Amino acid sequence: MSGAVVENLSNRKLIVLISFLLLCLLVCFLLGGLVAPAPSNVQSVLATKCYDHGQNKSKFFYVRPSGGCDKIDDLHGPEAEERHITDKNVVFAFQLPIPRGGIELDYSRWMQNLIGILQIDVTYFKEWELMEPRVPVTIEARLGYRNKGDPEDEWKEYATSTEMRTMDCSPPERDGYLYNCSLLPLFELGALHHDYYLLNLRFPVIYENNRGLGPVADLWLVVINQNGGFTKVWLSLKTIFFPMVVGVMVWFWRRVQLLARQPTLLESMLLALGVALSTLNLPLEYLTLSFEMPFMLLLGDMKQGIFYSMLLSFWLVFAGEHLMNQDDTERKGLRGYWKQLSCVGVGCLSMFIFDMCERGIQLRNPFYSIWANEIGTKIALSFVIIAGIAAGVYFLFLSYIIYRVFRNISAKRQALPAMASARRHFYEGVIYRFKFLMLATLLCAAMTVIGFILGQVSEGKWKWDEDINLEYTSAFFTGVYGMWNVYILALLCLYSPSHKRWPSENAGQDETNEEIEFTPLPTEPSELSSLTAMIKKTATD
Amino acid sequence: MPCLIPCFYALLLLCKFASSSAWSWNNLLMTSTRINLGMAESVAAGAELAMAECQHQFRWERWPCPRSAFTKKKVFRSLIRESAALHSFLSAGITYTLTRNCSRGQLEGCGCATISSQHPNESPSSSWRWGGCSDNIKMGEQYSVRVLDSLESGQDAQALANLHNNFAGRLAVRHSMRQSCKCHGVSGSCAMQTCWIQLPPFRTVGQALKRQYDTSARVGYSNGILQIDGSSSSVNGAKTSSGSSQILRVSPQTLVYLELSPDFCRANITAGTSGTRGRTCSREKGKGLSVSQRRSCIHLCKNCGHKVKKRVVSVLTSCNCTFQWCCQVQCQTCNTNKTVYSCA
Repeated sequence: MSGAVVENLSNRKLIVLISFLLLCLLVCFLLGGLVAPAPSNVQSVLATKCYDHGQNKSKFFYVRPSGGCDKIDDLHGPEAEERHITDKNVVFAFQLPIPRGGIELDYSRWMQNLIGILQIDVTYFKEWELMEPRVPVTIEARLGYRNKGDPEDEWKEYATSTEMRTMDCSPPERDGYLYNCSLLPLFELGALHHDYYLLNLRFPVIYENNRGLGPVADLWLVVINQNGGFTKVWLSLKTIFFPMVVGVMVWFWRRVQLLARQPTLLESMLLALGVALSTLNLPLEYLTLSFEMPFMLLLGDMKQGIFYSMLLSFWLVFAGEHLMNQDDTERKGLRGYWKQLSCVGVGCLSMFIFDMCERGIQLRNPFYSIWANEIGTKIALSFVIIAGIAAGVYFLFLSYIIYRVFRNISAKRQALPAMASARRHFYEGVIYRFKFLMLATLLCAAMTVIGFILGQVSEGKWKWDEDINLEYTSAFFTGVYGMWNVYILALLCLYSPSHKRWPSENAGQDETNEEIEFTPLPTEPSELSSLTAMIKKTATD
Repeated sequence: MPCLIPCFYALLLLCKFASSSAWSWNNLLMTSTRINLGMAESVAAGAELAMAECQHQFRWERWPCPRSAFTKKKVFRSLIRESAALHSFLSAGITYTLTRNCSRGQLEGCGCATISSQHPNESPSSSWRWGGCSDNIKMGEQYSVRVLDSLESGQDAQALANLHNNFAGRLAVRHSMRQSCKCHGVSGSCAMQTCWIQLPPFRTVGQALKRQYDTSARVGYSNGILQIDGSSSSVNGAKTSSGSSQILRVSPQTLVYLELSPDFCRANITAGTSGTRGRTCSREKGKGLSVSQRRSCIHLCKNCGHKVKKRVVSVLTSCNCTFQWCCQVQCQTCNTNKTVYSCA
């Protein structure tokens, strides 16, 4: 009988394969670190305050070229008093992106998405009334766009909305300083399809809305977009990995099909894992270069969710199938794992609902945020907590199964020398396969966690040192992405059924009952899966 | 050539205080090829901001940072603590204003220095498409270097010290900036996080610079490097941002000076100060007051040999202000009796 490739591969071949995969991994890491720029770019844009004469409601106020905005310098000086400025007259205009080097820059479709965060600078004056610690803010936001070649004053409407946000502020110690106010997430665009964007904000006073707002000195809009170079590197990785994984998957499945038996549960899971990875690898982003696809953020989240749930289920089934216990032999397919798998299901489902509530609604209104109101925050939090609990329970289950596997392994270890060679080979194979995967998985998980922590630490401190050219964050992302690809490639290669014959075919010296047990062998040439038969046999022992 | 900068600004400020000395014209011509008109306006606005803030920060000091210090050609004979402060305020003011104006998107000539400057000759739009542009503060700093550091052509102690103080001014802007982060990974998790730094009000920078002035160090010059006086430990040479000359590493933030200050208690015509007689001081008590304000009557009057005169004046002030968004401030006028202390 034969096992998986990993048992029968000679050490030399194994080393060659593993070093090739590690090389792939290193290339991914260096590609991110040396070639790619940082994953995202930030621009802080200061608002231009425009005076609205109130003639045309549908008019957009733009900053460049001049003529689109009657500027106000100071909202609280003599100028404001002279012109009798009220909330109806003030429009804050942000034209994105801001020009550099005298050139009007434009967004490229490679930049994928755009996130806007608003910061309101409120000055603290000792003599003036103190602002409340929680200020409700009502924002009338209009987002317009323009493309290259359009007339410079012709802005088309992209989205418009009236949004409520709550700003938490604490006064500074001294006069003339700014309040410490929280940032307000303003919008998220899943598609950066157009060249220029224009944001017009108003803070209207309707009933009690916005009355609590103090003397606003300035408005900053911080916009974050994915870097074009990073998308290019990322997409090339996907383009390379996609056919690789699909190819290996086909090879794997053909090997399974060649066997005279039905595919085992583990093999089906491996295939499913490969499929999930391939959907993640599918370079759909190429389409965004010509079509407007605002659902890409949501789709990306969903693809990642499917992949991770598949990976978690695979680990569970893998550990379960290596239990070598008699009561587990009764398991019929996935149904035997329903308790554990429902954890994964519940966790993923609640994350999916949460994502739909935030990014799903953002497809219709990019200014929407579930965190903006109390009920939304509670709902969002409860989904996240459910997902967290599900993840916790899952890991408890997984650790318990792994603990049982190790207990069984040590029990079997002691019995091994007394076993007949075929049985010994079988158990040695099971133990080896299990330990190999455990090691690889732990290594990958540890590397992901360490990389993530390092990334947080390095990102937390602002980098002043510009001599270092290694872009760590990008390297982390490409490295981790490459690592999981390599991990699954390795699994598909090494855990596919081996067609090699069992070395101890001449089991002549074996005990008679063992020979009887293996008499059907010659009729079923290559077969990993007399696994169940084997386990049954041990059960009867 | 002490304090070249004031003259330069005098010229920039619409030649209000133009000096006809040949070198300053040369300097202007030299710099005007490097900056365009919009930049020059921003630089002038930056100098204006620096002036106002310097006056605010030094209102309880014997040297009150008079306007004339920024506009007169030769304020101090050599580099004293006060001129170190002047340099740092100017450099910070210019950095700050240019950074801000770059963020407004109306300033031409704000370049796109990529964060990893691997391809220095790339056009702004191609580097923008690949890796985005660097933070605006970098632009502000670059212009501050271009405008101010280029004035220090010499290799002498004064030039080195001025470069250091300019650098300290720029650093004060950076260090006063606040950092914020936004998570935007899968489902909004912090798997991906982007951070940026935000300009504080210039008051924060001014306060930092005043603290740097309070802890400034006297240095001496030997073998082409500056050394802290009184200590034998030589200071490491380090490259400035302009990359041209060596400068000490006392600590990049510390302001340095070469000579001790004159006695500002007495009137000093060359320094443009009229002594501390007649200056008001503060005996206010409470939280949030600076040390120099609390000690101001002792420092300004008593230690200078003046008496503290107490007067009660009735002043009309605006009080109990209410603010209504967006732009209406309603204040009451209060007639309060205020105790004013001054040196006599």
